[in-house]
Amino acid sequence: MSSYYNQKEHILWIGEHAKALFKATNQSVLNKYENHLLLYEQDTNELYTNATYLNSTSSEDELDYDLNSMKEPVSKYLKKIKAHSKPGLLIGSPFELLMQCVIDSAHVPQVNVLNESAPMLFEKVHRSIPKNRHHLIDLSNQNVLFLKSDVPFLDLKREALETFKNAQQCLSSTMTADVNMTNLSEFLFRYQENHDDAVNETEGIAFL
Amino acid sequence: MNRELLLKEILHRHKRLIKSVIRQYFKDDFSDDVYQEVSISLFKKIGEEKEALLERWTTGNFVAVVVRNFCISETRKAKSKNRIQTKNFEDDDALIRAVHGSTFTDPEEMDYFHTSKKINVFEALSQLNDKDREFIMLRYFQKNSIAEINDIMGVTNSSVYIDRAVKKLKKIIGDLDDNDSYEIIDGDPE
Repeated sequence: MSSYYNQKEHILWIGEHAKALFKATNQSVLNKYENHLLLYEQDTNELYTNATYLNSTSSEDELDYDLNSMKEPVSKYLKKIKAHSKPGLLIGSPFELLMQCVIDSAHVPQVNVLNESAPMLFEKVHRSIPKNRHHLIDLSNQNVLFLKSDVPFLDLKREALETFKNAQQCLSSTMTADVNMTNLSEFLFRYQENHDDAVNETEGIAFL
Repeated sequence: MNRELLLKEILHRHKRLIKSVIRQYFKDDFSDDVYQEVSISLFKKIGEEKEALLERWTTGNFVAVVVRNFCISETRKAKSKNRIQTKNFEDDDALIRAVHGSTFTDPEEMDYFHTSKKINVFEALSQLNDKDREFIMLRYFQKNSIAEINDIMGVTNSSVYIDRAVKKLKKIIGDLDDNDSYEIIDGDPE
């Protein structure tokens, strides 16, 4: 009986910076993973079969590039990816709104233990999503690699810091690397074997 | 950070803001062209500006200021082009008519003006300072209204400036050619 999931671990490349790195990464290393690209709009010069363009998936004429507008389509996309793939790695720049939107869509599942007062043979628990936050999705088994860079503007810096905090709370592990890193192929090759070793042994990548 | 990708991100985020500022200065027909020009201008600004200076800005404020300055400078350029065009007054009989306030019915009289007086008027205009010359050009050649000239020149009472310029012109022409007397209209050119 074949598994419901695709056997390969997936990598979700989010935004333009990630796309630039995706293009520079060794193809044989990429083949070991199931790659998905999440981008805002299609570049006329490039076409990726595994890319999803949020702008074209929207039923409206043009999807605004802001957090509120992108929440719903991003959430739908993440649910779809999650349903069909093994837990994997998210790669993107924390300064991009699309990456921030993905991290904002993650939430920590709240485990409510019922009947705390009376000790029982078994504890009835359920995972709940807060009301009016149906776009949130559990990404607690996903890792994230942030592509850090020096950004001059105040608001971008502030948003990136918030994204780091959210990611640390809601995702399994948070790693950072320079956006101009050249050894991503090496990292991904090792990452397939062992996540922690890959981070420790690859230069320029560290846990946040 | 890759400046090109940073600009792409900023343009995506503030597309609406940029277009709304552009619409304040340009008609919708030109807004796409101006949007492209603005993108180039933003790219240059982000590239040239020192990072220490950019740290004071949020992206929204930075974009709004750059786009507004760009639009203002472009509208100024367009206005100054109009002014330069009006200064090209070779073979422009309107100059004679405007300054002398006369309409010619007799061809001989016209010829006389062309051969003898036109040179004096051009000389007189060339002796005026730039500002006075511009007021005369705007009023008597472009036939702008006083309100329009107020806007273009950034003054509130352009009629006063025009009067002064016309008086100076009269005086200069009088000095150049003492034998003839000129009557300069200083009312509505229409």
